Amino acid sequence: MNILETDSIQLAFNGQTILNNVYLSCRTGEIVGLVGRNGSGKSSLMKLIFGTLRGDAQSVRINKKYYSHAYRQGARLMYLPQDGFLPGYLRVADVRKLFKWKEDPCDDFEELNDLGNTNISDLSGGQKKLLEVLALLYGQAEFLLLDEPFSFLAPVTVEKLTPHIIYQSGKKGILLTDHMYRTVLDTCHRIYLVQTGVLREIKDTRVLIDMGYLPEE
Amino acid sequence: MISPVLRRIIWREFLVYALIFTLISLPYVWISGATGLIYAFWVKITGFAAIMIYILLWRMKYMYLFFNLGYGRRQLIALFLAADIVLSGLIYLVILLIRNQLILPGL
Repeated sequence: MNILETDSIQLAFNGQTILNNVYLSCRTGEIVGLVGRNGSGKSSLMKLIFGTLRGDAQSVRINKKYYSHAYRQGARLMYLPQDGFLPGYLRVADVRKLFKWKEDPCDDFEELNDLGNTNISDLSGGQKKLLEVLALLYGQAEFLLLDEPFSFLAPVTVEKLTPHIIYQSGKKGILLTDHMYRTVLDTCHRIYLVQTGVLREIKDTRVLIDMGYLPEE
Repeated sequence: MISPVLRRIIWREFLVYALIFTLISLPYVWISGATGLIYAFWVKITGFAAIMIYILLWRMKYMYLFFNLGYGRRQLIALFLAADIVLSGLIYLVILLIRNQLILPGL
């Protein structure tokens, strides 16, 4: 079993503390969820772990070995940015080759059926997002950081996608954040609320209401 | 070994722009011969800086594709530079050979 750990994360923008002495771990075989209001630092935390954002302090380790830029380690770690990362001139089939898929999950999704030769620029926002999530899920990384994997996706697609996330978590450690909190709660083994710069583990959804993340029912 | 798909991405994200600056610098080499390579060099340096700024400002999100494939920023710059040096070097060589009538003498 592999373990991704991060601690001592400090991040401030313009004197405002975003993350303060954060510790987080994720093992292969588990899905860890991050929830929190917009601007609470979820995406920044993922970029800090990935290594493309430098904080005031951070320590990221895989199997106890420290990495200053984890993403450089031969694709052991992959990150899904909110804005997408696949250029429009690539074809769907190119993505399969680039990420060295051993299985083809597109057959399970009508949205991506028979689109091998289609340019990504010709896909809808939802189709593109789905392809990006699947590209990483079926890629060869040990750990995935998924920033809003369900945004732009139809509820029925989300329902079909979550079993794939759970299936891949058998081999990978997955850290994900999304505002579809019900799906996040149902999919993840552990949930953390990011608020006022710290992580708080959530065992009961009532806490999310008390902490002001969910509205009063 | 870089896969054909990755080569295509490097071409579309970087080399096609680098080629424009190579073409801009070609008159210097055509008019002045080998000494024109000094001017061409500075055009290429300026072009490289301009392309890096362009990528940083407008194409940064696509760099996550390279990051996800395990390429760091320095590795990417080295890869881009190496590809540019090979392509531009070949173009300059052909232009110098034509200019000095070592190939295509009737041109």
